[in-house]
Amino acid sequence: MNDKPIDSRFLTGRSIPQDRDLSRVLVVGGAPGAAALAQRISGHGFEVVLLGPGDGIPPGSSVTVMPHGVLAELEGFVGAFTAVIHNHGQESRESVGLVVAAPPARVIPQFDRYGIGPSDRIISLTDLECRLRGQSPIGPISGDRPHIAFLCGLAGESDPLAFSRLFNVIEHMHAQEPTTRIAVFTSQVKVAGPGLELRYRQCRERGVLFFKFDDGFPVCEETDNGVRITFVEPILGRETELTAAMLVVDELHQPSPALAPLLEAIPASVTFRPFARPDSTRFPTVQTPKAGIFAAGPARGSLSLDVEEAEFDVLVSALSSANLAPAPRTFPGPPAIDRDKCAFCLTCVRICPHGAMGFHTIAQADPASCFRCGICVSECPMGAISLAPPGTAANVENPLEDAAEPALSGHIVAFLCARSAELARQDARLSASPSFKPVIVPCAGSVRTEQILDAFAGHAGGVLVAGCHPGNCASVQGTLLARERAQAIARFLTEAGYDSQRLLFTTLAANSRTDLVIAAETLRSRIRGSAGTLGGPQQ
Amino acid sequence: MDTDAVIIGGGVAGISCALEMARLGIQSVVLERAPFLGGHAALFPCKATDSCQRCGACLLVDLHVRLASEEQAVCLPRTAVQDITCENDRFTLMVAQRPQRVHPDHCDHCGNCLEACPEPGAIIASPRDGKLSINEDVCLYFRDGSCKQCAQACYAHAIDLSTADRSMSVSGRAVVLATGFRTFDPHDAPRFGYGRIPGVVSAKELDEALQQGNFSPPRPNGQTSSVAFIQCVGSRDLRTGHDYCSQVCCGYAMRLARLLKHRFPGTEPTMFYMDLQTFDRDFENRLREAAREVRLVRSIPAAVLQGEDGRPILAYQDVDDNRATESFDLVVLSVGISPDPEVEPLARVLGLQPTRDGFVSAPGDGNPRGIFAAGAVQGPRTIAESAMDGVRSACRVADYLRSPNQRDHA
Repeated sequence: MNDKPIDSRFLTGRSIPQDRDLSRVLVVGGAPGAAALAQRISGHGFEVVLLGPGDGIPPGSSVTVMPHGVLAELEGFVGAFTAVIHNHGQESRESVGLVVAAPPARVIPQFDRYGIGPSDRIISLTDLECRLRGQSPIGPISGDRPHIAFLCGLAGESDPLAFSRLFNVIEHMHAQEPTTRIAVFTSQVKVAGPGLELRYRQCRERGVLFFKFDDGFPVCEETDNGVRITFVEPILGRETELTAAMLVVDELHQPSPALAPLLEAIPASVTFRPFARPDSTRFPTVQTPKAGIFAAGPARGSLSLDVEEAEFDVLVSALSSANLAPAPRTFPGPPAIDRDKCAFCLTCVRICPHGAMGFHTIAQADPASCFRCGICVSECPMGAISLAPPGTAANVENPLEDAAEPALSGHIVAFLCARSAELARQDARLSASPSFKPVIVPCAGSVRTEQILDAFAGHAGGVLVAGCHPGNCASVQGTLLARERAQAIARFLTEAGYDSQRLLFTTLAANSRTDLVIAAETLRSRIRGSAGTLGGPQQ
Repeated sequence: MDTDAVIIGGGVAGISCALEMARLGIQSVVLERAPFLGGHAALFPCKATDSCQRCGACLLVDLHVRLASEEQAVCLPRTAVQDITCENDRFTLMVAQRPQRVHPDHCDHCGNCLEACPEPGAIIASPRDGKLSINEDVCLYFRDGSCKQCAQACYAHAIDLSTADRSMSVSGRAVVLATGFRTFDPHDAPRFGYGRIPGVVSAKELDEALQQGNFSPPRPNGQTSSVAFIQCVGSRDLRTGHDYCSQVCCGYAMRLARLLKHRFPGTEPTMFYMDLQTFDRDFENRLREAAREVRLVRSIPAAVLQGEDGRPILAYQDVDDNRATESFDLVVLSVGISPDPEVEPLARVLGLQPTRDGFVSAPGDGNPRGIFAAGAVQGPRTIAESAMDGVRSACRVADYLRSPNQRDHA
């Protein structure tokens, strides 16, 4: 691990672009429909570079197709990405403004997990699909009404896409030869997709046997005349044997490894690789945490062709309406870096979940990529970053100057994430009062240690930090950083002889106003329960 | 009222659609039958335990906030569509809007009206922020004019019962049907004892009770209470005519079970299922985690009976195919997603074809022209999928309105 060379990007710098151009789009393609998607994008006036097969794209269109092109490196910011592409041993650089991730699912046959090897008789679902499409002979099927057996979802959880493919091949085989006997060994039949339950029932009505196992799977052995499958019949509990002319093994669907270089450009992806977006409802459509990078299909984790089609529609629209003016955010910005304070430690570059930080001689923030979460502000060891430019009225860097006045013993200073706790506060009609001082923050992860200590120094009886639930943070790690920080401060307070119960960190959702009321009440009762403002050494 | 697109239904799909259209520079009017926007999603509690369970219900608050500051989208709550006509690719909808009978600026939530009201359900509170509203279908004043007690009890004079409905026309060049779904009525599956046996509730009722904070576990804290979830009530069941998987129930039941366990640690949940559907990207690990908290039994009970102690008893086939009976403190029916019968005539007028399962089929490009559908009116969908679908419909509407022959009309 240690012999990994230093990433050259850290030596050359990563400047914030002066000029941006949104008219070129890189499509990391390959998914079914990705070529059509590229063509649709070009129809909206974009110049498109497509990595992957460009079936159906007429020559002379504004899509540059690189059927064997592989993305090796991606670097930059929205409007000014540089992609290093390997194509037939040649390396080329493309400047693009927007990037779309639409590679096919990585399809992993489960031979190993069932402990059987592929052979002429033991094949994967993809193999069978190819054979049925007439691309190769169907295989050694002979004899009177031979059995075809399928293993599906026994070694790992399956999905509706796998069952949709399974029903496709079964329907196809029955259309060719209605007497073909088919047995499916599975655990859970995944029918959570349009029309799948009906097709499942029709399969059973045509005589397809479904054996459902709660755990384990049948023992399969290849013999001279077929594959011998030995199992305990789940309903009758009897040892049963079946010889199949062919055994078809299912596949797991995972995001393509071709995404890896693209994920390098999304720092927060360390928590959700190999996917291109967090498994979070904060990213309901094709956006990723990094501005200018979009994902659809298996790269997002969608395993249904219907959903993928919807994503492609949304994607085309998102690209054609992409502009560099950032959507209205909760707080003014962009982050300003104090040249005299920046020690060039690049903590901000590493920590920014949105990949919005660059650096040249000091750290720099890209206003078009910045999400205004303020995590960099709280993580900068030098205190060199502020969200609003220094000198403007909207000073979010230290909202406590107002919040801690007047000095009143026993009041609560509540740092509320604007995306969850603050919305819950509005619904709960919990308004600011001398005993409850809300401080709206763009993300719980933006609350600095000093802000919390300052609140106590300003005679707060208690401090509440309320962020989103882990897994629901729009800045992915923000709420986790906030929790860690709160725990560290609590330890510090305890060490110093103070009552750490006066600091309460909680997570809640925008639609759970009662949780906020309960948290405030809990803190209030803790304040009542202990005398003085903070306990500990006499103040 | 003239606009670009009329959206029928102000749930997650409808609002998402309106917001995306606004982003694309298209004006819209959202018509919502209920007093509050949000549809079903507004009734669901946050299901987070120690971490987010990804139900998506909080998405709605974001949508609300964005909508409130959006000038391009106008929302008409308490508004029902009465007639639709089309001329020259322009649709005119005759709508009736019920007035806002509890004035939000005057109401200070003292609760006097709720105390004074003799008819339960006649004054309803928004699940999100508690704003009050009169339900004319229940209120005695609107039945026979016999009662005005709420208005008399309100010292802030925020309640006005007398204003008549307002009729108006709304016209636009596109119509988006985003009326959502109905939850399956568990009375239609009588074998589960719903409405007959105390302790049998629908998951929807449990959801609402949790959201409103008035759910208490069947046994006091400290004691264990056994809770059974029965899956596929009104799904995958030809007896109820529902030959499809509702897609969301395995997910919501598992989330509910874990939420109960988290909030009331004495809860011992059991889930009776046919096939567990994949509902999360990291389903395999999520399921392994859940299986530590929730007992999983692969069997749909044949019937729910009432025991001598009054508690419900489930009769089912256990793993060894023996007949088993087991009593529970609470039985939750995981009701599925059904088409909304009230939407059927509207869909017919719009020329949208019904699917085999009674939902509305997604219209193809331009056929019928200018008519679109969004969200669960087309079939079962999660909250996040409905949001995505709303955005998608907006994109399609934008394409349609920008198409050359439409531009001539504009």
